[in-house]
Amino acid sequence: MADILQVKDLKVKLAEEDTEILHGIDLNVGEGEVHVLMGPNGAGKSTLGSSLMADPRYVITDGHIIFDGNDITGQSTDKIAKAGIFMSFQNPVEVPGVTVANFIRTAIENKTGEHIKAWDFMKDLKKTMKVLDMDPSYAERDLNVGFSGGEKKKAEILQLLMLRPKLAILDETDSGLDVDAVRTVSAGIEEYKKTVGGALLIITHATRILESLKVDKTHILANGRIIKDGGPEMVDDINENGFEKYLREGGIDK
Amino acid sequence: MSELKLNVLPSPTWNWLRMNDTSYQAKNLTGGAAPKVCIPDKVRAGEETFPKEFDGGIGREFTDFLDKEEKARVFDIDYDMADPIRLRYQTGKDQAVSDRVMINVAEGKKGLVVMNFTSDGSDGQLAVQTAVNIAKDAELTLFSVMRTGDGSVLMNDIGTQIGDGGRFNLVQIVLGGKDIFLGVKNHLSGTASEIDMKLGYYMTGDDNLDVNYIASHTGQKTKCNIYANGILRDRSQKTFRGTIDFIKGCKGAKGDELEDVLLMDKTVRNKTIPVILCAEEDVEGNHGATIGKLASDILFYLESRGMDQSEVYEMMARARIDAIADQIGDEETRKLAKDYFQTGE
Repeated sequence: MADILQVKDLKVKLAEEDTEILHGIDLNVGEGEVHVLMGPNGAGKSTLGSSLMADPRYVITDGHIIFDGNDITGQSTDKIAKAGIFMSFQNPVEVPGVTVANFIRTAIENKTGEHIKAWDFMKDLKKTMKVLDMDPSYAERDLNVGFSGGEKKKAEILQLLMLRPKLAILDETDSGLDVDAVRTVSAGIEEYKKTVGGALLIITHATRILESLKVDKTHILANGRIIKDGGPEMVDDINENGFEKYLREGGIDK
Repeated sequence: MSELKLNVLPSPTWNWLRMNDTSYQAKNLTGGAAPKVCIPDKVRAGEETFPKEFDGGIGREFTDFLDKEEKARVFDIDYDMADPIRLRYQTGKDQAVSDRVMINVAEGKKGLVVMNFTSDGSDGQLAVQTAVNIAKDAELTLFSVMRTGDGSVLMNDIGTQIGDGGRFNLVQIVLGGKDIFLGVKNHLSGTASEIDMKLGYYMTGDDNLDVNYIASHTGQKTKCNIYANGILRDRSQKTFRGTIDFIKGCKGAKGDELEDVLLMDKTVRNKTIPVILCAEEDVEGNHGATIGKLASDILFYLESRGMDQSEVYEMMARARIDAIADQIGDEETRKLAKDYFQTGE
């Protein structure tokens, strides 16, 4: 299976200071595969996700990002998104004045360059909201304004389902959610796999969100380096025994 | 040409701020404007002499400038209106025209008026003055969308007198214009009278918007709410003067004013002067202004959904105008404001 994403020796530093955070990441994700990126707090997991989206808080100092056969290193965030990468944010920002429906519709129209009929769009949106157990009234609420943590995460998955990207990076999508909310969000991710068939890079340090997914590969990131690549069995092992063994093997002091 | 002092602040501030008024070279008037007027059957329409004591937001010199046009079109409203009175003005080439309007709402009744302004894209000048008289427990709602293009000049002046328990609701939306002067002065003389004014604007190119909103509280327990939300881009300019004037004796009065401006380019010029004048102790007044660019985290979030910076700003601009336009309870006028972002016209 061809790789949809290839990350080659990626080095990243903070934009505002000379501190390198990622020290040469190599990562390949095949089309439609589910990869899990795990690691202790402060390992650089979210930095990797953000850097793939050209977050201005970070600067790529070396290496390359190849997406769908094209080198997207140094491209702007909107172009990367238009190419087909989506990131679900750990802490989605509030956007006053822009409703959920208007935002998603504008984003789809910008991405495809085609006008969508309001009726068709709303029908599709409400059907998708149902999958996520979202009240239809949320379509007319300002994006993320006054949303609870769980509602914000659902709104992220709603965007994922409506925008239909080739690769979705889910950054701690399960953090701070209760059991029911995790189940709903997981149902949304399953729906994405089923209807879009895109690849997933799931950044997490919990494993509840993975229970209903068929994981292809697992990577452990620590101190800005991938210290171990493995199969889905590694998720269960980390769940039971923690990261200690892997950190020790990688020569990293806890 | 006549040099006029327009949009005069009720109480002058430092001269060096250059915000006490705006000097403007107005073309001498060539005649009366001919708006398209649509009047529901039950409204009594006629012609009367414009009141000499009129006190509007643009100021005395502007009123004197228009005094050649003594006659005003008068609308007397004596029922609860569902369909509005509509006045559609359009400026034309080489025109410098004026119009005066009087709207009287009888006791306990609810009036609805729509005044829309467009131009043929040429260098015309239009001056309109509206005297509003709201009787006891009556209410007037006035919606206005101004899309006069980048060649025309519009001077739109309103003065209100509001009786006991009366209410004035105003929604004004400005979508560009070479020079737009808006003045509104509300005389809240009736006990427990109220006003609610909302302004939305989207200025681009070399557009210039100059606003003077005044709430003069003389009645007890009077209330005002002034809200402006707008976007400046390219080299456009805006001056917003918002004054809440608590005059001695207006016990229990409350006033709020808030302005929110999004600056889309470094080359725009934005001036805001919120003023609260207070000669009465038992009052409550608040003002605030939020002026700035989009926060970088919001920008990144929106760009991550495939919109470039200009598309993001366009969407945010549209959202702001939509939020004000949604206050317009007249479908035709609301569409006029919202369609601007679809068609640019």
